[in-house]
Amino acid sequence: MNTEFQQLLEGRPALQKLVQLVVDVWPEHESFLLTSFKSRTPDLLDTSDAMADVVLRLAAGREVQVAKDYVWLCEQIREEEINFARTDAYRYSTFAETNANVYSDDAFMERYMHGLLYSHVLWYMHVSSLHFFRQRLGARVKPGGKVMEVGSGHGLLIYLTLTELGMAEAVAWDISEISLAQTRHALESLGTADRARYAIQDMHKVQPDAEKFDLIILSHLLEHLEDPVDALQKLRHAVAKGGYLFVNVPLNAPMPDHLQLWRDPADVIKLLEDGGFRTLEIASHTTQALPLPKALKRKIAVTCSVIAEPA
Amino acid sequence: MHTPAAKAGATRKMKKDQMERSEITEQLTEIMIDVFDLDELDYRDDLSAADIEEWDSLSNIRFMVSVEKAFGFRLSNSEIESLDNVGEMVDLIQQKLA
Repeated sequence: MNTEFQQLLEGRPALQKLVQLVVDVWPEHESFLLTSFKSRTPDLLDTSDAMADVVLRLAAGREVQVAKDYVWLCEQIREEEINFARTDAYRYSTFAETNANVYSDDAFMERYMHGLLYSHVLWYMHVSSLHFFRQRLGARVKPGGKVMEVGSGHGLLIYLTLTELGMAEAVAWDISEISLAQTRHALESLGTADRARYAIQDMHKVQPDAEKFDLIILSHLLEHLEDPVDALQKLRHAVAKGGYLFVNVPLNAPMPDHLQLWRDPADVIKLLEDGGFRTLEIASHTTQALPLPKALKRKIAVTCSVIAEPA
Repeated sequence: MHTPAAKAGATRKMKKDQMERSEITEQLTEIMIDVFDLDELDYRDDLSAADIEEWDSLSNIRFMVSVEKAFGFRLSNSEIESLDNVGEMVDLIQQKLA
């Protein structure tokens, strides 16, 4: 790392370690990372350091391999970005296609999940959405409640709800036993497994008498579905009175397993409205902290974070 | 004023006659002004990402795909990533149109 980068990360040891791991395997990426970190406020750098500590604990014993998988992930996304620039569409449009080409490929999925783990810290839009989650959702959610996340993957958001947001109990839903096992393993590694439960549950099949939750999280999930509106409508049954829905969805973000292409934050508000939810707060986190109008005009990836309630 | 589509059509029509280098650079300059949000650009063969603040890994893909659409051919991924300056891009366009 050059001197400017070292000074920027001074006093943030987890962040220093993570960035160094990646720069060691991909020196050409340093300028991209420096731009990303120079855009961050001191508060956002604090969140970055806290999340770096968590992801390094999750990667313990295979930190270098995960760094290599991050490089591989960026190569995959580059392919998708070229395709997106040429076609103005995502590569696949049905679950059958993503299932055949992505989800059923265990080796691909392992590298994909590893690469995404570090992206939570290294990509401005991802860490900025985590910061929004800590700050804005933390200001609304009452401690002691019950949270449920669908497709919780690395378990980062469940971990934050149980530790920083002070929620008492968490439930992870997924349609895949393997994915649930990954979340369980992650929460065990982070020391919060004793307050978590795991259930095979298809959210399209939630019934009106379903278990109720004070907070439901759908982070980078709806874009993978063929019918996200139906999923939202069914999930309303599981929101407790006074409860919230937290959603992260991407705009213009070509990934091999994304089906739903949204292009503007207004599309996201409309999606939630169609699904029966009223948006209370929305924040747009851009790639490399680009001004939002510029990112939208150039069709560069944005993550929208939404706090909503049943309409 | 020519529309982009009309220009692309005209470019394809000119392929047989081999575009002059100056015609290619003129069209490339227009593409760069659009993609990199520039007010104006003094073209030089040695212009590179180091000279244009907005030319980064994100906008490079848009630049290359705009070139593909304007000149009517497909670049390989290695070609997209290997060019060091716009002069090399002009050479490549001439090769592709030859």
